[in-house]
Amino acid sequence: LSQYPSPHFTHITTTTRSLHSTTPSCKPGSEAPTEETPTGLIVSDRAAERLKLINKNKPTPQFLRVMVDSGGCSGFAYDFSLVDQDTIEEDDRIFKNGDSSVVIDEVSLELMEGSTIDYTMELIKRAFVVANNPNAEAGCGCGISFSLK
Amino acid sequence: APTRPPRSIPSVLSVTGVAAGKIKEIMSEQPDMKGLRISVRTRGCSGNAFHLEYANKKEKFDEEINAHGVKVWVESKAIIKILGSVMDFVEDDLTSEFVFENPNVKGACGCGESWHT
Repeated sequence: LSQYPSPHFTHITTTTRSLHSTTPSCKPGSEAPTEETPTGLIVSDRAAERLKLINKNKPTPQFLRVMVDSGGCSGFAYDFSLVDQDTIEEDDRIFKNGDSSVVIDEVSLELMEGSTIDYTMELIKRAFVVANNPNAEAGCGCGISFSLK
Repeated sequence: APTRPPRSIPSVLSVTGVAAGKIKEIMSEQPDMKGLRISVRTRGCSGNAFHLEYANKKEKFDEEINAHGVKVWVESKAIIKILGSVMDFVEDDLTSEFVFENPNVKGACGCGESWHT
């Protein structure tokens, strides 16, 4: 590689940079969190109801954040948390059912596009869950962990 | 604050006050039912998982637990797997669930829901 004249590389680098910088970036505002689209996540009525109930006792409105992380016995695992609006970043997407909002980053969304965010109500356990993830193979028994198809 | 009396004879299952309070609450939603039955189902990546259901009578060979004014029946097949367990209830905004501290468990699934003895 050292045989190649270094100006050549410099040139390429420069071109790449200038190309990148002159390419018009996305329209202003398009990077802001976008509202619900047909693909994405479905927020079930039960999940929305539960989130509404949680928010009754909160000083600031809470968003339900869903994340896919590596972990669990099947490779990937879902993680839920409650977050304030100011934690929402540019690459996040928001899905709503009524006043209840679920927020997810784009990387996680790719792994669970088309899923339903639900709230299970069994005797033994009530919890937010991800249901019907079209991208996932049936994973762990509890449904927290999954592997990709 | 008042301290709890020391535990006496170890039983098949003990139920914490918090869990009993929750059981009372969910029993009130099913007035026809007399108690909860606990069984162990074959499920999950570690083989066993607890299962709860409403019950209105004690089945033959069920172990009856009376704790803090609630009745819990342990299915006979489950007794050996859960001997000495403590049933508790934990709750936060995202999840509320009955949890079992089971001294017989040798290993469990990542989420702890399924386990083996």
